[in-house]
Amino acid sequence: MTDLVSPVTHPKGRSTQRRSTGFARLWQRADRPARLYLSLFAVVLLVTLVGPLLAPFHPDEQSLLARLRPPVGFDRAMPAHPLGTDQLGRDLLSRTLHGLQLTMLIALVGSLISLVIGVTLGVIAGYARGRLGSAIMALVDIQIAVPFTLIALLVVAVFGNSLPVLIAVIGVSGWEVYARIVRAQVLSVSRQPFVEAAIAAGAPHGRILFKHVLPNVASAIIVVWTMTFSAVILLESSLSFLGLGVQPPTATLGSMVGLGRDYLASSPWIAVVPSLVIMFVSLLVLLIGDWLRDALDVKLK
Amino acid sequence: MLDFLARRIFGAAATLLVVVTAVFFATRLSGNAMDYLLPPGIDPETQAAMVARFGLDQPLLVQFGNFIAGLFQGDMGLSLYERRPVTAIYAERLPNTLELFFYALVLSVVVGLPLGVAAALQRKNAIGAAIMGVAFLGYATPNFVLAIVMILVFSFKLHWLPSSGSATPLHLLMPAIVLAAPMLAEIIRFSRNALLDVMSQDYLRTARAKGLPEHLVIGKHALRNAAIPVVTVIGLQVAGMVARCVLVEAVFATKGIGDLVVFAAIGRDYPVLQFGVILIATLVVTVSLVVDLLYVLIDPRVKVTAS
Repeated sequence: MTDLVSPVTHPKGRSTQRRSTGFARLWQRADRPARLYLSLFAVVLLVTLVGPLLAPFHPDEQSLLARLRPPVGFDRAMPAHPLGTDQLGRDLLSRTLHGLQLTMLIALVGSLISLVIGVTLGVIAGYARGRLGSAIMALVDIQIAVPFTLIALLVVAVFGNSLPVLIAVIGVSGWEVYARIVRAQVLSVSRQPFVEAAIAAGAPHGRILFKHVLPNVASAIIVVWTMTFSAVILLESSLSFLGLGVQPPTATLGSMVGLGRDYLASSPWIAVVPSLVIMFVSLLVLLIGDWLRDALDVKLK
Repeated sequence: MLDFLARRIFGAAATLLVVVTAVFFATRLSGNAMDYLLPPGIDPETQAAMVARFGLDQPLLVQFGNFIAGLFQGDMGLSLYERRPVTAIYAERLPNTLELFFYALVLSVVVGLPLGVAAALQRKNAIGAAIMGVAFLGYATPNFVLAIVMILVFSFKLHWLPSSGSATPLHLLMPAIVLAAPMLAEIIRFSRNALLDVMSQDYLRTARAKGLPEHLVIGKHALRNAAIPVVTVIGLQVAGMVARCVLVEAVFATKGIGDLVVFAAIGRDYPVLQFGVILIATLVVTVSLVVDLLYVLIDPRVKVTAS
């Protein structure tokens, strides 16, 4: 059915363009700043992947002779610890590299979980409508009304703080954003002639959903994912900062800031180094999200 | 209109009911709080007495009934650590949080609106770009990073402001700035865009064409019409601000309800935690409800549709 229709809707000249992958096409359309953000983000990803291999020390290795050393360039700095050390003499560069990896991992897995939950519920709400749809939207309204920090506090108080709990908490956060937007998109796509044609031709629901509806909603999902990813990084950092994230001594960027808070007056770099990394990454993702939204021309309301 | 009103109030009430139920059952999921609060090896009689004192020996549904009844009577039990009524603790702390909200709100409106207008009027030069850059940073900087940087600069380097506590209004200045930052940024962005939107309208061209001085064109025609979206964003952000107070208050230890809730969660003081969650959720839901209603009153063009 689609194969018959597509040559008619897409003029012949564009069919070769459609062969190139989505990313390559986006890159060609990207302006200078956008290319800069994307390249920087590629570097962040690379550091996330191989960073721990490059770390000069084990992140939890203590060295009592090298406690509270500032980064290179300040008095008392040690060349072996370019970003300085914390109150237990742990190397901040190594901890930052490991912390970045863990933070990105938690954010990635967590945000993918909320993506799957949100998209599934959004598709059901938009496609099935009826009672089930209204029930899902009522849930969305409740989730929007209740600040997520509160839910996170409750969950952590009940289940204790550990990596799986943290990922689960982040996984249930933010699904309502996907659900709301996906539902709206599905509603509008379902009214398009090609979907009505597929329904009229007797295509099963699964085929309609996966071949016709979802591909047309995909760019909205990608944009929402990018735009919420920085919020997810911040949520993880905030929870870890408050001591509600992973258990010490494991480092995430947020927990490093939280521990460094007690030494702000005498050794500010302990908190400042991971803070800067968090800010850099979240800003970068935010900028990419903004650009992607305009580039893919997705309306999010 | 009445129909819309009724539906909004019903929705808010339903949300709060779900919150209260979820909070109650969630805090009981982890079993009997006395098991880990009392020292190990305590004699069974004392343990039973403590369990009975906090009402933890009754069936769950009876506890839930008491919980709901207590909610309406203002009796939310005793703090497990302080052995004082939870409501008394919150009554003590709420004024600090409200004071903080007040400062943050005033700050973001008083600073944000003029900056937004300036950014719109100076949009073609460096001033406009600088204001928007600051707004973007304010929006994108995590609360706690901003807090840490401010403590470093204003408390430890310059010794201008105290780094924590809530003894004087000066203590609340830094938390208020951190709390206000995202809202300030949103107000700048929205008032700029709203004003730019209005400035391209025909009636502004007419006003200029009839020879009205520029300050009247902007002051009388443009600003008034730009006000509506700005009011909306203020309303939206107030709800977000209530939510953010948890983190900001915990960082600055302002002795408000936010830091109380965080430390109750860390210390598993369930009576304090559950009432805090219910209280903050109620604040957020009420604020959004009021904002929605105000919006309908302010802007006669808003269509109240059934959806």
